[in-house]
Amino acid sequence: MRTVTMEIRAAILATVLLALLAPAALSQTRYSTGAVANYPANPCGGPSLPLTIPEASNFRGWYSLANLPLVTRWENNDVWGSDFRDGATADREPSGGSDLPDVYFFTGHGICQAAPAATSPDFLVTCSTNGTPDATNIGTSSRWGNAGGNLKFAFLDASCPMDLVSLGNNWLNPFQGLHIATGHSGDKTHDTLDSSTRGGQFAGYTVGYKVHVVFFDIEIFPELSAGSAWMTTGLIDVQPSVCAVVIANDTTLQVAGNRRDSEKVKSPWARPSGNWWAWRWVCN
Amino acid sequence: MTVGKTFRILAPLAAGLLWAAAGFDFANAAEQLSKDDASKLKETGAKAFGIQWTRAVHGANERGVLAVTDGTTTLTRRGSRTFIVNNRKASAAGDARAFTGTDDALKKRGTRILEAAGASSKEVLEAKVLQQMTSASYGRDGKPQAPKKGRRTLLVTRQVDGIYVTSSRLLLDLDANGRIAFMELCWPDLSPETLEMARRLQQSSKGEFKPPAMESASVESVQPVVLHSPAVAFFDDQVAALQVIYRPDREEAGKKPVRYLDAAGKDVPLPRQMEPLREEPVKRENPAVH
Repeated sequence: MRTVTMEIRAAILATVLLALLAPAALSQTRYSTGAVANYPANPCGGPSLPLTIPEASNFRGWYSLANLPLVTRWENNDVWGSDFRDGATADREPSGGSDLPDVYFFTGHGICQAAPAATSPDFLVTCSTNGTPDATNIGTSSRWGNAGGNLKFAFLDASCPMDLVSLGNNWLNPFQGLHIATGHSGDKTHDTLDSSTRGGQFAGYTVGYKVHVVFFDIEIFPELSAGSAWMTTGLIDVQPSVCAVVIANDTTLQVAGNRRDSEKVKSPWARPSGNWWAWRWVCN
Repeated sequence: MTVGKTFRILAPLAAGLLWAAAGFDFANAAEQLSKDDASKLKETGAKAFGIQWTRAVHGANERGVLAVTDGTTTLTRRGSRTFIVNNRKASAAGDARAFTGTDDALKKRGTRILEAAGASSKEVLEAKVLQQMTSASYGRDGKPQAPKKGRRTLLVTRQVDGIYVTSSRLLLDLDANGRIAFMELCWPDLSPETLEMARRLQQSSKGEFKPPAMESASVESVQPVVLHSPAVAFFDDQVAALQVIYRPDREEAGKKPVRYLDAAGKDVPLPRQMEPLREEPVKRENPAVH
């Protein structure tokens, strides 16, 4: 009788575990990449960026090794400007909006001013016959994490999409549930270089590479927080005076700062809420 | 179905899910490092990098990348001189627990590490201390707080015989006790063939080489460089190339195109990080036109 009772208890426990863990099992971080290499003079004004395609491939390589599910991997004309603007038929457009996955890595052009001021806008620039216009004003048009949007980590490898001088004007409103964003600050004479390395190394550090030997897990490559990974890799292939910037949002200064410094891609924290933004940067 | 049978079915299922939930941190099975190799790497960590191992170390070998860990500090080694040190407690600690010594002390420590790892200090192109900064803002219309100094990181770059080795670097973060919180040292030996090619490219960059034109951009600079696989990689590729940086004609176009070329102006294969992905071509449909 006692054995039967124990078995019932064990079965109940197992069922409860099933119920508790099943949602967790479904909550694995999902990611997308968008890489634009082709910027022909007509109609996109050029120049092309040939290394963005291998860069995004390297990014996916590490996320694939980490077994993270891919949502979309669009290139060139298939990356639309509207993917980065708020709306059900824009950043939540089912075939490739940036608010569909938990992580979106964009590599392509931005827009750099000669001497950015506090009122200067920040941009991402695509080159597509769909979802026009190609240039997205991040501060006025990008809103992530709202209306059922999922994006937690916005990783932007475009020059000057996160100018420090205008961060307070451009980068607070896009946080509508978004956890962390990374990008560069610079100007037209202090610019990032097209690079196949930067995005891959950033990806590698955000997910690490862990192996299992006998009873132990060993991190062959360390898994860093998103912010630390960007501080470590954001200055690869950039010109002098370019800065790598990471920003996070949350309820208090301390919590926003912790999120900026500690939140990891594979174990995202709960949705942020609140009116504090904390950012960190390092310049070359 | 009896209770026992139910249990026997559910228990492994629950165990599997437990693994899956924790195992989102998916770990690949790897080869265990031999005791000899593990002790050698442990000793390198202690002698060259001053790692204080606090417990017994365990090691793994994955595709030729070796690592030992005591659970807190992990030392990874690949090839002749690529190391990553990560003390997960120190690297995750806040700015308040970062190194407080002088910039000079940080640079000297970097030089000692390079020498202990067998790198020539003559190859140092530049050693500079990068100062991280932080700021914050309250409210969507709030004024940003005055910037505060955060942790500092030493960045050392490399040249060989006047040729920039763009992929090599030492990146060093120390903790408040002067121990390594995080280090990336990627400074591999360069083969005689790579160096010979780099010297030839150096000559041709001064002479007959004409960089190919790029639409909507003009040539900003041409220089010989050596590229190699970066720190986080399973390969040890290296190649000499002429790095051509282009300046966009549209002044506002951010991100400068770069090409890595041989003497004939053809793109060289870039060093690999991991086995290239095998992906089928994909095409996005626009629902608005269907």
